[in-house]
Amino acid sequence: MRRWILFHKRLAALLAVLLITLSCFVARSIKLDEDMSALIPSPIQKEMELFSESALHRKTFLGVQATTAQEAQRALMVLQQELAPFLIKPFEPGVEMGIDLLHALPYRFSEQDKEELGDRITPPGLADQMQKNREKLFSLDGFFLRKQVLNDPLDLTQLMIKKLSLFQTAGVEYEEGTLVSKDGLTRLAMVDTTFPAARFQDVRRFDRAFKRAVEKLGNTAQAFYLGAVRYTAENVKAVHKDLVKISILAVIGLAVLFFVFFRHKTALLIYLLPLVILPPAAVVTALIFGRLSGITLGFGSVVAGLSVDYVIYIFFAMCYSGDLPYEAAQRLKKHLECNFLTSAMCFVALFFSGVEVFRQIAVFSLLALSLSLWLTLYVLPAYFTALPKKTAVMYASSQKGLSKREAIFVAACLLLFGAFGVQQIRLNVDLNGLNGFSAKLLEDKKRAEPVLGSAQQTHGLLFVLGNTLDEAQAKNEQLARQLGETWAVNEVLPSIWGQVIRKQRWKNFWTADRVQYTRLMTEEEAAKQGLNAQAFEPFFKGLSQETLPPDTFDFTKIYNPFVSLSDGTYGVANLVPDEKKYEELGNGKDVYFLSSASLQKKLSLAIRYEAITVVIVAFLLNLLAVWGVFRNWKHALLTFVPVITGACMIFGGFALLRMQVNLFVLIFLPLLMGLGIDYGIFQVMKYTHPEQEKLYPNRALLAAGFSTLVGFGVLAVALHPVLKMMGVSALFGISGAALGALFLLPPFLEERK
Amino acid sequence: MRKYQILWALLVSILFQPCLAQETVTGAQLKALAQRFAQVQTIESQFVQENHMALLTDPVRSKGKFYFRKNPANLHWQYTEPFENGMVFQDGKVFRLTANGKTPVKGSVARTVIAQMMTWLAMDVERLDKYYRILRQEDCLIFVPRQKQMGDSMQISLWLQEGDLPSIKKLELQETTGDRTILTFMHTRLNQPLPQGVF
Repeated sequence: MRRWILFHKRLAALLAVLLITLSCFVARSIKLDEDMSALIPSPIQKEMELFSESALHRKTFLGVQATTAQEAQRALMVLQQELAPFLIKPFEPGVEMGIDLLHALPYRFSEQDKEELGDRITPPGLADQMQKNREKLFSLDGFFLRKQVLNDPLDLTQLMIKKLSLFQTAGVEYEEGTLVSKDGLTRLAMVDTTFPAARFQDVRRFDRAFKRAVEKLGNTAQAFYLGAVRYTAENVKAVHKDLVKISILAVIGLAVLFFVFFRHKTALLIYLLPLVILPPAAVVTALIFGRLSGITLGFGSVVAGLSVDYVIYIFFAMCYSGDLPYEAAQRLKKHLECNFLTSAMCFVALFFSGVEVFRQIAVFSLLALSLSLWLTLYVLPAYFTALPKKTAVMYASSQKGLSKREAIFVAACLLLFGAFGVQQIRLNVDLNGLNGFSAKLLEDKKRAEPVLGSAQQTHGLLFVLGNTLDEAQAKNEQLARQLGETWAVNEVLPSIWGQVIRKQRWKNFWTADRVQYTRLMTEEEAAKQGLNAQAFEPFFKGLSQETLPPDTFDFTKIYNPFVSLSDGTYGVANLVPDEKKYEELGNGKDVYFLSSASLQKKLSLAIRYEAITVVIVAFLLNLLAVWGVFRNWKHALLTFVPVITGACMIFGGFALLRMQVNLFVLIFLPLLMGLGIDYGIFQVMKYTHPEQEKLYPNRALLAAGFSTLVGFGVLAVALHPVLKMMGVSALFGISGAALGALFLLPPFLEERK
Repeated sequence: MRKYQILWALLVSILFQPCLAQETVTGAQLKALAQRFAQVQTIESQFVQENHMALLTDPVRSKGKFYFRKNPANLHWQYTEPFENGMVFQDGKVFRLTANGKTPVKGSVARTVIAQMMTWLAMDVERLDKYYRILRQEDCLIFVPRQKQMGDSMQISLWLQEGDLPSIKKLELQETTGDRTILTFMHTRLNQPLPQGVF
């Protein structure tokens, strides 16, 4: 291979260009996935799926805030009209709604309804009802109510309305299908979009249309939208802005790095390397997972930083030793393979993570680093020119290190700093911490508060699952019976068996004798009110009929509490108060209770478990790998010194800056382990092989550290909180690891030397 | 005998047709009407409502009063006999009036009713022309729905009180079911300050 490349340098270069072009071409067709589900650990994926599939989560909230209630009403109407092409036409109750509700009652006739109706069909009850009927006729809306009185003189529809009102959440005001604040100045319309919330191209189009609609509202009202669509829009904006910003900053950083450390045309190959390895790695990762997260792609800059370390070491080895390219590569082969092994072990550990994004990052990084190592050892040296003597001299430097005592003191200080940081760390377990969101979103969420009140905090969703929808409904009914409670879903959308029982109850109630009695009593009381009882004849005829009118009422058009899951099962969502008894019902099998608090608690536990598992696995794998290389426990353990100094810097740094950190900082620890160990290996190799000292100049370690920092550290300017957290962690962690390797490790190794 | 009855009916309808002629109101006439009503900003009036319904054994009469302000749109419609009830539209919200006070109404029916009432009281000609074919028959304007609406199609006849400022004198709703509602307005005061506390 080496020989072939040496003799066909141009052809090999052409092949590389072709590979890059092809990969870039394929990479263009990869759909970037901004779905938050990829960030969720697998143990709580089911809960997240239930949550994201529930009707409330699928809804988009179009909101307006105005100076007058009328203006708010007008603005919301304008907003809905302007966004109509993106919205599923909302259910509008027509004049036949009353009839539909009346016909729906027999299929939902509960024991409670039976008792209530029994109490109403008495002489005083009917007298009261007839008076109400007469009063309805003499009201302003009598024109509309007249038909209702005619079709339903006993006002049985009221029983159905009571059932529907069970869906109403305490503290939330409804008005004509919209949620309204007490002062009427803020209104929210719950709408369904014609596109899935995770499809970011549609979300962008919607976002643009929304902005145009806002312009039409003028200055009298402020509009906003919330829900899954908004989160996608915010994530898309954040990740896309980040990609541009990070790329620009990384390029600038790399240019600075070139002028500070390299200043030779051969070093330009270092910069070409990421361009060759990243596109194919992204394409293969996307093919393996069927999707590629924007966060994984954002991690490309980190991988770029890591991947160039191998070439940097060879470059500096050539500078100092005067070796020819392939000679330097050959002499550093063991070290580079060891470096690759330790980094790979960290990514292997990450591959066992329950978070899909981390598995994507693991595969992406492993592919890129493998390709980088192979290119560094066998391909790139063919293109290196021998470095002039002057260059080598320019890099030579002497450095006086710390004494052992000083090193111990600094190490102790760092450990204290780290311990202080761990104690002070402020973890943010809010799910929103995983989303990229702007200050504007927070402002809009505040705007919606007068409407939604504390309902989100005080209520949770109780999901009951089944293999079929009917099974889920039946289980839901059984659970409510066990608790002795009445749940809205069971009352309005009973199971097939539930409907059979309720229908039979209706028929048993309306015996011929009862119908006759009710008719006679109604006629008598109606006559007293001047109502023509003959007009009610069709109603009583309907009650006596053996065959019931069909049930045409489809409540799911208004609110759909059913969820269909990816594993083919179904669920019923009940909105219940956030109480312990419901939380205890959750068995993780067919009953799940999800509230904002419980979900955050579960997420926090899952991430902690993830982090601890990954860190332990990475540590063990790395320990095994470095022991395998050095066959010496002390040397193997010393390679972990930069890891510890890096970790101390991270935790201490966060505490010092009073930064609130999201749980994903814990995932950075195995990555830091991989990087830190690389630096540790570099130093152990240098000090344990004095004959090869020229291959390991400190400048090489510094350049490698800075190149990773350029890749990793630029993430600190990202808007997306996960990327930002990684960037800030990298700034502290890599600096700590590099400084630990350069200053703290040598005193312990020099003694051995 | 039946044949003669039909012939007689035909003859009568032909002979009297010119007297009952209905002419379509022209665009210019509508514009003039709209301009005149545009001057009316507030209305305060009493009314008598007469209902002829199949649901009632006898026609019944109810009484009440109303206050209307065009801008910002406010309406207070109150029955005083035989039942005390009504509706208030204030700051974009609808309230139901009962003997015990006023309570907010959330349904869309109430809002639709209020919107309809305000369209008529303000004589929003542009809006009415959209939904009704407007005809004139002697001193009466007849509104025929362009489409079947609200379940039962109906025809609305309107008599106007001519003066410096125009107002509605009488309104009659005729439904296809045969039901009829007649609203007669009296003691109407236009563009006068409305009593405090009605909105």
